Amino acid sequence: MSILIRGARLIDPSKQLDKVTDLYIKDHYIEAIGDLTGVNADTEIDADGMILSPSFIDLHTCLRDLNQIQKGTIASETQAAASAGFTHLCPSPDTQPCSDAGSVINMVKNKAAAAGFCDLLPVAALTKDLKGAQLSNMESLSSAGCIGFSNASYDISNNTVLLRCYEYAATFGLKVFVQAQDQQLGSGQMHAGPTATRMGLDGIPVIAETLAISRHLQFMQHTGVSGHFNQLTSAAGVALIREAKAQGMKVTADVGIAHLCFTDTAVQGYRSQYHVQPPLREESDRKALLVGIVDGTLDAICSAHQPHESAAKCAPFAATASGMATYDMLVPLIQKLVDAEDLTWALAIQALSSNSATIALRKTTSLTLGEEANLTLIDPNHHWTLNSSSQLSHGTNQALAHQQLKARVSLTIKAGQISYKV
Amino acid sequence: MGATQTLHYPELADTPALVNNLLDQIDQLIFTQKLDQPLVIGIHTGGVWVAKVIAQHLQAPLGQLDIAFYRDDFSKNGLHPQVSPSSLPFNINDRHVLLVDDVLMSGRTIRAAMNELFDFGRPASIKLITLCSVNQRELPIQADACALSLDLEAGQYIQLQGPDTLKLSIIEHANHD
Amino acid sequence: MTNSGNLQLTANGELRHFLTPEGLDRLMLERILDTADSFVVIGNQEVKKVPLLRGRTVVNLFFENSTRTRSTFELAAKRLSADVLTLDIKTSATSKGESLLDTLQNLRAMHSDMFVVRHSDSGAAHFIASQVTPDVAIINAGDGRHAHPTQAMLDMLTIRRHKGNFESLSVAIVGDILHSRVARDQVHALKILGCSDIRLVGPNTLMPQAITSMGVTTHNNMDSGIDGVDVVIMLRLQTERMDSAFLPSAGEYFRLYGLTTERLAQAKPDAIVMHPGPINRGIEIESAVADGPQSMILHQVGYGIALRMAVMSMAMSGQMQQRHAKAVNPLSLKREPQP
Repeated sequence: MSILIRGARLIDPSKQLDKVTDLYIKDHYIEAIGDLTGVNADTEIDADGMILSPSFIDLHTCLRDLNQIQKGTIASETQAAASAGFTHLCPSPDTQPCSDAGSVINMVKNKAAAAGFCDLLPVAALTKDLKGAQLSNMESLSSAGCIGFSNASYDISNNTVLLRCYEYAATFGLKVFVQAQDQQLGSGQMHAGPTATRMGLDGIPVIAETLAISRHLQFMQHTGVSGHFNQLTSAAGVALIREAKAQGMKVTADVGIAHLCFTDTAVQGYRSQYHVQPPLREESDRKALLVGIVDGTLDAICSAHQPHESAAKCAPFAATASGMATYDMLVPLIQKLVDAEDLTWALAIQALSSNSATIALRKTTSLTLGEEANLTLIDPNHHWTLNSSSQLSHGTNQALAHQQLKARVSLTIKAGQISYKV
Repeated sequence: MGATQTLHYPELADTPALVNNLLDQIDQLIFTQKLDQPLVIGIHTGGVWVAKVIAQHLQAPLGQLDIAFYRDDFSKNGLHPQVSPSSLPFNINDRHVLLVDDVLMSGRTIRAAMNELFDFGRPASIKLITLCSVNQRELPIQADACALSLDLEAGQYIQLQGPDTLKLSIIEHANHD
Repeated sequence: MTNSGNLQLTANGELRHFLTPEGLDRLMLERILDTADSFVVIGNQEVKKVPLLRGRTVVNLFFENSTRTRSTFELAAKRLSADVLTLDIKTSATSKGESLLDTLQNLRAMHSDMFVVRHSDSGAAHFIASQVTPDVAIINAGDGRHAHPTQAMLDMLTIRRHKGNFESLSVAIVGDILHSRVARDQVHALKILGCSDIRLVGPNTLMPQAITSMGVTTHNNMDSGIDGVDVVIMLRLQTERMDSAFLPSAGEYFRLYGLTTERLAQAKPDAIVMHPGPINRGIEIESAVADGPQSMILHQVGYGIALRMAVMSMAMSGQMQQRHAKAVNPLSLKREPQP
């Protein structure tokens, strides 16, 4: 089975490649890159004006299923992920039941394999049932294919327990993923600022994040664990990561697509679609997050995809569930940032593919001859409307529903097979 | 605008004469109906001006009604903030009331005024006094004393100017309907 | 925040829900005050009832307890000759959002014309207004920490009746601003009505983040905070604040922020003292001041009924005009004089 993609702009950050040329896939591998006029293949794609890159890897997502099928299934959500250019996903352990046992991990991986859209690299629970009291079976979970451990959005307030978690992870060279937000200070519904004040909603101050980051950085340093911070939200948080890296610490960080594009003012009118944890902050924070991607302080962009059924978002603000379904709008949002000159496609691709690969797979992905073909083809000029017939996620919490969008994934190829076609 | 119309109704040009005519009718009414110590109640705004003249003439107590809260067009036209409140500085129970308005047309204002009056008490009788009557009744209400009765064309309305010099005139509404 | 404005007004700019003064313009707020003025007069007459809302059903939907507020709304509705029904619904902890939606669905069958809503979640009144059928008017009787518009407006009525023009006034609001839904709406209303010197007084623990973005000044020192003001509004301090690390003790609070006769002397000699009630004597205010000549506290109660009568009749009127317009004329309704 061969695929020939003609005339795409190849962007490969790991090789600093940005060139319009052709690419040929045979069976599962990239067989040729260059001017391939005259070459034939089973499937030929005219990619004039499109961007071809290594496929995307998602460091934080929620696929629901199991006891939450009203919010989404592994089949629907991995398909949505494929439509956003992803081939590998790192689902967060806050599934129901919790991903703290090999049985749950295996079930989830099997479902994904059966659907065939994406491969899963699960992040398992750091403590049993995410309760922050007892270590999970980290070594067994690692053997079952988990690439790291996280306590999701449930901060472990007991320092002794947290120390044990880090020490145990260090024993086996395991990675810890941290969503940095202090438990008590993080009990509000949105960013603590003028908008929260006007709306009478409980605010989460920036120090909820910075306190947690400082705390975890010290644990990482003390135990030697390689850590990754999920979903930074603030300028002050970015500054802490920058400083840690400058001091030579091996720490990485990502930011959710929503935090690069939206701010706390989006909540005005009590729009529950923008009820997000950790919260959307102010414009100055958003700008600092973008600078963080550009200067490399923030290694990756993740989807932080959290689909919900409509009832979960249909209540007074504080009573609504937090989270956005982001897969269907991810590529258009990146295009908006590119159009606003806050980002380039090269930087975005680096943040979505090669850097995330380094964190999740411990090796970078690239468009190299002989490499397994995992590719994303993006049409930056495709105009379309996001609505119930065009969206693939089952989540009704689509912030850009019914809007005219620009840019869309045209093709996603996983291990040499087309996993998504527009 | 008013000048041409008054030619069709020359009586309007002499409002004081109409007022005097009305006062004569009231004197007659009080005498024949034996209305002992009547109370004079005017309806805002024009009715109050006329009522003042009447009350002074009769040396009778004066009250005023604003019918804003009793109108029947609340669902269509909404509530206008009231400017002057109703004020009845007396008890109307078992008293004879002279209810005064400047213009009687559809009868709805009088209906509202009577409803309001009955929320204050139960008068012995109510006599309706109007300076002018336009023949476009929508309710079965007639004046007991009225100085001038006339017909108007569609889009024409009669208006009393005051409060010091009372003058009746006709105004035209360009876009009617 | 045009969102609130649009939700509260009909296409013709008439009031149809009353959720918060934010988003409404000066003209509208003044109309509400003017209308309330006429109802104050009614309250002083022997016959206190008017037939404006006769045949209409007003439902009190109180998800949060409040006997005072509920009874003034009930009284206001009855004085307008409306039929009043009170539903005390407590939200269950586990199914908050769902039961609210379901509750609203079930209430549809009752075909009521107006809901007066009180709820512990900020934004609840907005949520309900966006979920009910378009011909039901919603009056916000307090939502979480966000708004309590009728209280704020009756406070404006009190100020206007006793102090006049807002432009030249300086107003101090003292106490637990952070947890106060009234304070936010008072600030919005004062600003819209033209007041430019609004001072919030209290300790940092009770002051919301970035509140100065609303165009007010903040003061930790009460004496300098109320120096030369025309109006002092004292907010109620809930005893829970002393139990949950906001304040050390009632004693210290009274010493620093309690309104005593001595302290009141810092304000203008003819300054008025207001309080939304119920008052905590000896915690935020001294009895001598609460019962003293400058206190408007008892007046506020009477004004509260008049103000609620005003917003209820205006919102009902807006809704009915909307219904009538849709039924009779698909285009905008023209006003005609009634002869």
